[in-house]
Amino acid sequence: MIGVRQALDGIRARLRDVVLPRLEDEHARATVIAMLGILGDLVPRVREDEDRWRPAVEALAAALRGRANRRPADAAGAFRAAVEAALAEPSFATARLQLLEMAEHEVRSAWAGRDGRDLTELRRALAVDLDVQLALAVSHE
Amino acid sequence: MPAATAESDDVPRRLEPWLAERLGTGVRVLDVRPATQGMSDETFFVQLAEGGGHPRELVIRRYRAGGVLREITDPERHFHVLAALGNKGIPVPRVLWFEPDTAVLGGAFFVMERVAGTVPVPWSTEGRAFLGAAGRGPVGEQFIDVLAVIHHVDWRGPEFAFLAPPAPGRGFALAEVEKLAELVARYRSEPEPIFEDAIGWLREHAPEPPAITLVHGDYRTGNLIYDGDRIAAVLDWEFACLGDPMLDVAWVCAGSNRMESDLVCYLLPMQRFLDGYRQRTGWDPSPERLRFWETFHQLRNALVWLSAGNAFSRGRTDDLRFARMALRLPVMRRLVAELLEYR
Repeated sequence: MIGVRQALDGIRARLRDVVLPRLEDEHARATVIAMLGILGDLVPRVREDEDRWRPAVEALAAALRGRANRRPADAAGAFRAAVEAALAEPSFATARLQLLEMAEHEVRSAWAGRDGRDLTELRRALAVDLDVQLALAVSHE
Repeated sequence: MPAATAESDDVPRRLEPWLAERLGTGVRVLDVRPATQGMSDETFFVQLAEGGGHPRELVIRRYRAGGVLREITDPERHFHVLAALGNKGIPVPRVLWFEPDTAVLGGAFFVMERVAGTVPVPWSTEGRAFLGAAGRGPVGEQFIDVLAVIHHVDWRGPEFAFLAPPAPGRGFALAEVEKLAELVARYRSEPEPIFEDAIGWLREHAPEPPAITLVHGDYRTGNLIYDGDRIAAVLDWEFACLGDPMLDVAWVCAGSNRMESDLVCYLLPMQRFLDGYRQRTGWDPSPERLRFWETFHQLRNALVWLSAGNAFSRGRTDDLRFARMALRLPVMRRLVAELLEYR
């Protein structure tokens, strides 16, 4: 996934290298130059809102804890510990990635027949995560 | 018409000696216009004057290195498919030459004769209006006819020897799923549990084909040229292979080819299309087969976006369309999740 800064930098580069050299109208050129400046000023102000991932982290953690209960006691303990370790991360974004990694592993295991085929709870949690992603992806449509 | 790119500005100079060698006469390139700029290839309309001033219009399809999903497409195979289809009763552009040397135009390319007509963007307002009207006329039935003819091509002739028949039974579907699994592994930049779920589901539900046929691989209304009330050409054969004809049928019916429309490919009511196809071929596009192949297509489509995002984030392209696709990838994940009945 590309970050906001990378996207803004990419837009600036294309405006500078592709759009600007082809503009002959002075007002259009001045406008694009101003856009380049504004985008450059905005880049250092970009801060990712990590709290937005909180509902996804909570849903994924709950679903994964539920799957831990299906395991033998020793394996369940290690699995729960991994979930709690992710939750202890100070960043929701980092916690989410760790939990998604675990969810992906669970999905693979389920389809490989190693851990039952019931993915209902996990899919529900992944749908919550997807809602957060979609809120970002379609909010400016 | 999009503005010519710096690269297209250079095409005439590079093209003239190359064409002259093939035509055996002096050639003057009068005009080169970009027709489309795809994610892995570009199409140029070329106007030229041959030795005696005789005017001619050609089309060049040039492939970029590192274009999206190049792992499962091949420009040379695309060229050979079009060449093999030249006399099979399927309207296709006549291909002339293939050039693998990327030094000539900056990417492998092939040259075709130009087919007159229009190619509407199916999901645009104008495209929907055009296709809705066309579907009520002769084009609607032709759309089914052409697909049935593709699926009845005798592919056992020597002209199709470059296409390998798939393994029997579920072999074709399973092999296609493994290609997608490899692409997920190659292009992911974060965990992709929904795509992995889809891979698992597809492996579990891979169907046997009703027959092994030539498959177009991307048959839809946006890949056809229309001239009046007829389909003048079927384009974009880069995914063509021998396999399950239901792959094409399901793609025609797929949700992403009828967004907010009651018409498959914005052209025909689904039942009319399926009944017409069944009558022409005798094969049953059952709901199970359609669901499998639609899920396959939706995942493959999502992987185009994943691949595009990977290319931009790793600096292999500065094309902002790729960045846009990366940012919109969650929409593609949602379409896959919906087919897996996440809610």
